Amino acid sequence: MRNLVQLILKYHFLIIFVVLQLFAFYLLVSGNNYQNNKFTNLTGDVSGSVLERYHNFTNYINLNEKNDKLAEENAFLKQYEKYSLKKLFSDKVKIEDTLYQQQYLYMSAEVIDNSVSNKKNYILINKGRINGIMPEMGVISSDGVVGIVKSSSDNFSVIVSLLHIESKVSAFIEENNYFGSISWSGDDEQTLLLNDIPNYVSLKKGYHVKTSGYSSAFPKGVPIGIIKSFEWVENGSFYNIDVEVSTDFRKLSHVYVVKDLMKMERQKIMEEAKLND
Amino acid sequence: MISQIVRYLVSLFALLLVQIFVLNQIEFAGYIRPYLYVLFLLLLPIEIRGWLMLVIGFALGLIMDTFTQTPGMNTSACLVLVFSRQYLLKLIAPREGYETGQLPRPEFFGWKWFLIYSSILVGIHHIWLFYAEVFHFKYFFSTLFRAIFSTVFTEVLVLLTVLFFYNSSKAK
Repeated sequence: MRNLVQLILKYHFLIIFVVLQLFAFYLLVSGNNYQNNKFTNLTGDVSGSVLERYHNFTNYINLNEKNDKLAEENAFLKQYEKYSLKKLFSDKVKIEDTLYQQQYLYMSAEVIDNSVSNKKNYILINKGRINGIMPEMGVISSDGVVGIVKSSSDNFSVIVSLLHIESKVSAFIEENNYFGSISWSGDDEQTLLLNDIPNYVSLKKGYHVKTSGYSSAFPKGVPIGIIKSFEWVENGSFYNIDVEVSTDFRKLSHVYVVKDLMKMERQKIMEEAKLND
Repeated sequence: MISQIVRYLVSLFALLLVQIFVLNQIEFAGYIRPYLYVLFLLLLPIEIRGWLMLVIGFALGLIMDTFTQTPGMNTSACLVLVFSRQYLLKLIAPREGYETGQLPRPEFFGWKWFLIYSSILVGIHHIWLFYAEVFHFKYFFSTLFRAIFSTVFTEVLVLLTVLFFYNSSKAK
């Protein structure tokens, strides 16, 4: 027993190092978990409020540009306003709209921390669980796809940016309707990779790549980017396609979190189908 | 004693401010990221006990991780830095050993000594950090280059900071 105590005393430095390092690795591994992240759940509110204050301060610098963009978007949305539509029938006809049902809701949020230079980039926004944000919700900007919510604390959420080497988004080419998946190589912040497009498809530079709507994170047709170049891989059955990303991640300031109202229903029917298999 | 602790706390606060609000926000050539905050660990007195150094390094790493949403990354790298610091200090000690009150700064041991001391520790920290971030050897060489370039950048900032803020004239 005395020997043991002496041994511990002798190697206490090494022992403390190993114990603390194990704890750090526990954080590292559980934090690398793509989905829920306990660490940001715990610390998100503290660092979030500090970073938000800083963000509020620097926000003024880019205010003009942001205003222009918002005004542009407002103008675009105005065309869907009631007063922009022409009445086709007289007042007395009541029309029950059964053709359309709301599926997606959008929640605006401000980006308060963001990076593009890492291999795994995350974005911090100022809306959280209180605002109904949950992991796996999609995030878009007025230009296109931004990422997917990884975890949220009460008032803040962390988003896995498209610029993350493990991010994957289902996509399709608008011009020919072929489906593939979008990923990032980790090198160039303006270039994404489009995978799984078979090499018998005819492609052209400038084709539009958009979300497929296969997952409930994004509605169908949100822009992701434009085909910049493609390469026919010998001995392979798929193209290597570079896509120029439409979102400018360096200037990201306002984003919209997508809420799919039919997500539960969708999951339920998928599970039932699998059970009956 | 107390005034010294206060001085260290002030410098810690300043370094954290610079790291979080300036260095973390600016992108240098796309993939270079300096981590000047480790300077705090480099400059702590030599006679601080090993276990206390570990606790300080652990806490500092945890604070950084909180602000960069990277759980465990900086914590782990800071622990490795502190761990290697204890042995490096023994390795490059002057022949007659350290005197009490000596600090690991150029004013006590010269610029060459400090350059070796700081660049080895910064290098260890960065290499560990960048691999911990990727957590995969898939990007072995690109990660290594990022770590090395960032080390050079951080080292330059470390030397400049020490030159301007820690090079008081009370040298022996």
